[in-house]
This record gives sequence, C-alpha cells and structure tokens, in this order.
Amino acid sequence: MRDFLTLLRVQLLALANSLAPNAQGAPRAARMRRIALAAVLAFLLATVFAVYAALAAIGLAEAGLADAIPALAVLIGSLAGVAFTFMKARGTLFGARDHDLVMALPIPRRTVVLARMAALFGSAIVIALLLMVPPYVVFFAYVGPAPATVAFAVLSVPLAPLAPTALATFAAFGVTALATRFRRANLAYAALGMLLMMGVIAASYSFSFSAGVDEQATLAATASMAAALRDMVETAWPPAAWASSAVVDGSVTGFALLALAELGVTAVCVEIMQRCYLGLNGALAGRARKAGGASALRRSGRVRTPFAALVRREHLTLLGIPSYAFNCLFGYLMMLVIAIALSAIGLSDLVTGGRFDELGLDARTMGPLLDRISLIIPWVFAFCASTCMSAAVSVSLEGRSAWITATAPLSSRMVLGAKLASNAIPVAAVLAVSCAIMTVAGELSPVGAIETLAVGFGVFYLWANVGLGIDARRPNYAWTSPNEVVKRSAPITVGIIGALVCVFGGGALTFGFLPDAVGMGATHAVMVALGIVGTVAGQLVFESSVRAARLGAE
Amino acid sequence: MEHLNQTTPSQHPVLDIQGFCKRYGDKTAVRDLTLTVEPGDIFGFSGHNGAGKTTLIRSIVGAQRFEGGTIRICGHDVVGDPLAAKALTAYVPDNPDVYEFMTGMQYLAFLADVFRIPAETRTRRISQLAECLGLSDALGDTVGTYSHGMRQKLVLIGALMHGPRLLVLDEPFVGLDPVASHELKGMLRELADRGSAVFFSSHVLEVVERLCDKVAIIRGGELLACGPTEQVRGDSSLEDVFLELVEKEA
Repeated sequence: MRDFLTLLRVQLLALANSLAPNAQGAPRAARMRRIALAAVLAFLLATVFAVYAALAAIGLAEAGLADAIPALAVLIGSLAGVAFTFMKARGTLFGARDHDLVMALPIPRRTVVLARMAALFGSAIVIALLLMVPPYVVFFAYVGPAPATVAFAVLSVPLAPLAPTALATFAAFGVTALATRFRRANLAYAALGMLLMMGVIAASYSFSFSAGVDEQATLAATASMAAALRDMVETAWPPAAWASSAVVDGSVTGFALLALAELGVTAVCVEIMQRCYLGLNGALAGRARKAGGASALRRSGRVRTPFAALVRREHLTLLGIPSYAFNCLFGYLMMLVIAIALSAIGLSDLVTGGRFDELGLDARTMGPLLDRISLIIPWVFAFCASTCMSAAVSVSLEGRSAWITATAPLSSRMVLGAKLASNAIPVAAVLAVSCAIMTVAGELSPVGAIETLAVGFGVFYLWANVGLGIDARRPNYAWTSPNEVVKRSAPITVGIIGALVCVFGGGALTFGFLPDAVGMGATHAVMVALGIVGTVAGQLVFESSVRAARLGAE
Repeated sequence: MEHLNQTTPSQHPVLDIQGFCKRYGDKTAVRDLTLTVEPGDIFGFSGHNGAGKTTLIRSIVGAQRFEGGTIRICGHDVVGDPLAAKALTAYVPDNPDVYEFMTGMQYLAFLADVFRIPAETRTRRISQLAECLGLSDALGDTVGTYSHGMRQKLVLIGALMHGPRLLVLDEPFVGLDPVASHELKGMLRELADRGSAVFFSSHVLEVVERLCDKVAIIRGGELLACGPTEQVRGDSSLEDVFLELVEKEA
C-alpha cells in the first residue's frame, strides 16, 4: 500500500508540474499562483459543463422523459472516462518517460500498473462526478427522492466510468501501437477525429433544420429521439440499463449487476494489463516504416532559404503532433464546409430551416432580411479562422528541442515571422477560397466577399499575434504532453477568448446596431475598416513581440 | 573538412570569455570567469555536477542570457552581434533532443538550409559524416524511433556539417558506442588541425587528458585551474590534480 501511495504521489506531482512547470530560479510564489489560476479555470470550466448537463436533463424532463435521465447520465459518465483515457493513457500508462526507472524499482508490477491506472480511474471519476451529479439532481427534483434510489445514484457515479475506462486503456494501446508503426498514422488519427467532429456538428444542425419552427413538433421530435437514444444505450451498454433500473425503480438486483459488471470488468482488465504490461510497452518500441537511408540522402540536395526552411518546420510540427493538428486544422475544414453548405443550400433556406414558404415570407420581405443576416457571415468566418491559430503556441511547442532555434543564426524576426506566415498564409488562402465559392454560387456579393476576407483575417491576425506575443515572451518548454500547450496554455486561451469577444461584440455591433444607426452602406464600410484595423493592430503586436521575444540571448 | 564560414577576424581568439557571471534568482551559478580558446585548441572543461559547466556552455552558444561579463566568438559579441557569432558556432547539447516528428534527413536538411550550405556540399558532408558515425541507414527514419546514441550522432552530424569555427559540446561521449566515440575523437582533432577550436565539457578525465591541449577545472561556479594540459597536471594525472583541487577548495 505504501509503494502504491508513493507511486500515486509521483503521478500527482507530474500533473501539478504540467500545470505549472518548475523552472530553474522561478519564485515559488509565482508557481503557486499559476496552480491557483489553473484551479480557478478548471472550476469555471467545470461549472459550465455542470450547467450544460443540468440544462440537458431539464430538457428531457420537460419532454416527459425524466426516466431516461439515469441511463443517459451513466452513458455520459462512461464516455467521459473513455475520452479522458484516450487523451492520457499514452504518457501515463504506455510510453511513460519514467517507465524503465519505475520498472527497475523493487515494487511489484501489479502495484505499478495499479498506481498508473488509479490516476486514470481517479480522473475519470472526478469528471463523471461533474457530469452525472447535475442530471441526477434534476431527475430527483422531477420524480422525488427515495433513500434507496438516492443511495444507488450516488454509488453509481464512481462505478459508471470504471469498466469503460479499463476497456479504453486497451483501445488506447491499439491506437498508440498503430501510430508507432506508421509514420502518417498520427495525421490519419487527427483527420478521422476532425471528420467525426464535423459529423456531430452536421447531425446537430440537420436535427434542428428538420425540426423547423413548430414548437410542438420540435418537442415531439426531441422526445422520440431521446427515447430512441435511451433504448439504444440500454441495449448497447447493459450497465446503463441496470443503473437505470436501480435509480428509477430502486432495484437492488439492478444495482448489484451494475456493481458486479463495473468492478468485475475493471479487475479483469487491470489483471490482464499487469500481466501484459512489459510486453505491451515493449511493442510500442517498434519503429515506423523505414524510408531507406540512400533515398533519404538523395532528397538532401533540395535547398530552401532559411525562412522557407522554418516555415516547412512549422508545417511538419503541425502535421506531426495529432492534438496540435486536430485543434488547429479543424477551423480550415469548418470554413470550407460552411462555404459549400451555404452555396449548396442557400442563405434563405439555411436561416429559415428549409421552411421559406411555410413562414409566409415573400421575396420583398426576405431580401432586406437576408441582407441584414448576411452581415453575420464575416463574423462566422472570423470565428472559424480564429480557431486555426497554430502560431499562438508554436514557440512553446519547440519544447526540449528549443535549443536548436536558440543556437541557430536566426533573428527573432525571422523565427517568429516564419511561425506567423506558416499560419496566416493558409488562413488567408482558405478564407479567399471560401469567399470565391460563395461568390460564384451567388450567395455572397463582391462587397460581402471583401468584408468576409477583411473581418475574418483581421480578427484572426490580431489574436494570433497576441497569442504568439505571449508565447514568445514567456515560452513553456517544460511540457510533458503537447496538450498542455495546445489546449490549455495562456497564449491559446487569451487568443481564443479575445477572438470570441471580438466576434460576438463585432457581430452585435454590425448586425444589431449599425444598420439602423448609419445604414447598410456605412455598415459595410465599417466592417471592412474593422478588418483592416485588426490586421494593422496585429502587425504592431508582432513588431513588439519581435523586440521582446525570449528565443535565446539575442 | 573545409570551413564554410570565412568571415573570421584572424586576430581574435576563437572564444574569449571575460568576467562571465550568471545568476538563477538569488543563486550565483558562475562568477567572474575568464578564459580564452585559440584556433587549433581542443579545450576540455571539467568539474563536479552542478559546478556551472552547462550554464557557461549554454551562454556561449546563445541559448541563455547572462548577467555579467562578455563572451566573444572570433571577435563577435554573442549578445551584441548574436547572428554572426552563431553562424560560426555549432553546439552539441548533453541531451540530444531534436524534433521527433522529423526524419533524420529532414532535420539535417533543415539545419543545412538555416546555415545556407550549398546543395552539393551538404549531400557530400552528410554522406561522409553519416558513414563515419554509422547512421546512414537510419536517416530516413523518424527521430522518435532513434536511441539516445543515434540522436547524439545525428546532432553531431548537424553540428559538423557547416564546418564551424567553434564547436561546443556538452558531455559529447555519453551514449556513444566505442566506434563512434573513436571516430568523434578523430573528427575533433581534424577540425582543430584545420584551425577551428573545440570546447567541450566532460567528466571523463582520461579522455580530457588524452585529447585536450588545454583544460579548465571549475567548482561552485569558480575557475580553479586553467591552462595547457601539461601545465595543469604537472607530473600527476589530471584525475589526481582534479581531486586535489576540489578537496582543497571544499
């Protein structure tokens, strides 16, 4: 037990260090402030998720489907464990940097594996707590609590993610092993993730599109879909059905089956994992497909300028780190999909949910309305473009290899300029292609295309530079997983939140206020001007970053 | 191995450090350190763990700022004229961390582009160096699949590729197999014979004693001894001198 707790402590210290790296000479107070800030941000994020889960449960209860809440709560808790395991198993359980060191200690392998999996289980339970408690509270508020059902509900929270998390470790191993074997598997993994995400968004939109404007019809459609989802969940994942019968009907048998299944599957998985642990980790040491030394040498003769070489390095980094690619390439895909969807469906059908005629609107009424609505398009593209800001974290992503840039004869301007160009040029190109598609389809006027290009690029360029500036001044090279930089670092958080404020503020100003105050013509001019101001401000931020960057002793 | 960098002012030492000071917060890591390295020198730098060796090396190559003193490479101040200084320098760190997502060849091509090495020269040099160090077959593999020693060899090829005036190495023999280690010693000697200088840190005093023309011993951020190897060691071995100096100062 003592060994187990010691190893678990190491895992927790690693987590704390990933939130606030212990840099040489850094004051302890500054580190504690960073940990506190991370805790506050985590709390805020948790609150948002909890509120969202509660609202979804209220929606189900209002549709008369309160009984479906426990099964769906268990599903959410289970999926949270699966998602977390996919993100963290590599580095925690497989391919850990301290694997050899820990395995050489006089500690039983079972204890080592248990300690590492406990970190995954513990985190999955915390997430499940966050996502399952609000729906349960809503459920009991609607159906009334009984001691047995409340007790079963409380106990189902830590039980729900156990088996899915345990099973997900094997799936995560499979994906990791595949990524080790094939050079482009990382990219395929990111592309698959993006397509899935796009599918979810398209499905959500098509549901609201088909639901139309009739509230009763929408409610009925929601209810029938939720009921079908509940039946599907209970059939596909029996623990959800057992949890549902325990929490809804107070069934002791249901709860006993749930506990037995979750704990039994987990115990079996942990035992298999500990028996195969060395073999599984050894399997990951395999090599990617060999390109051949001779053919590699033949390709060495192609000469690029230092700037072009730096831009290429940035692109290789983006494509070589799956979480970086997934986070920063999705926006490009979104821009193209929106442009194609808008061109294929048409703005009027898109905004009326395909019920242009049913709404009783004639072309004379719709014309000015659509003109006004089209003022939102540039801000939609600004939002998508802002999710592509790979430059904002590109300094920190150099990580332990940062010495290469620091010791090379390269100026800060060239290094940062290449990082920015590798991001800004593709964003501008995709914006231009999207505008061209919509203009050719007749869904965007030439003025609208200029607006979309100016606003989309201006917002992106300003906040990408703000992110890059923060990253260049205070780079975090000590990360243990690129996710720490890509998903929750200060540069990306400030960049995204700043861009969101601009998008919603700008959208409200140009859609809700300016057309009435100054007329449509002036509104168009203001939008183009805002885009130009954003671009110029972004360039000024870049100039400041070049002077203050900490890329070495320069 | 010819030099690509022909802009060296010949009247200057290759490396000239005057009154170097570096602090981490309140702790002084290195204080008032002065030494020079001339063309043709192989300069060994030794000291116990935490003595300040890596701190000095990282400041020389421009990977770290410092609080006091000056460092000049062939007359170029590493703070005032960093790009000129870096163009004449190559660095091999103690941990050869390179971009894991690149193949070995992509990494070398990147460095060759950065140091503006012409196409023919780079192909010939990569081929020669990779052959010497036994890495030719692995250049098409991603660096993520390399062992520590293979990464070390890759970084060495990258460092030697542009014929630097000053080659700075931090514990270069750690992780290398005996054949590669032997080859590296020959390469360092050849580089020095052609008028460049080599500055490296090492705990392996036998190697320092055998390979270096000059040595320096550092403890607690202060230089205890510095000069030609024969002069520093006298009639004893370098190990005896090191132990004597360190014990006397402790």
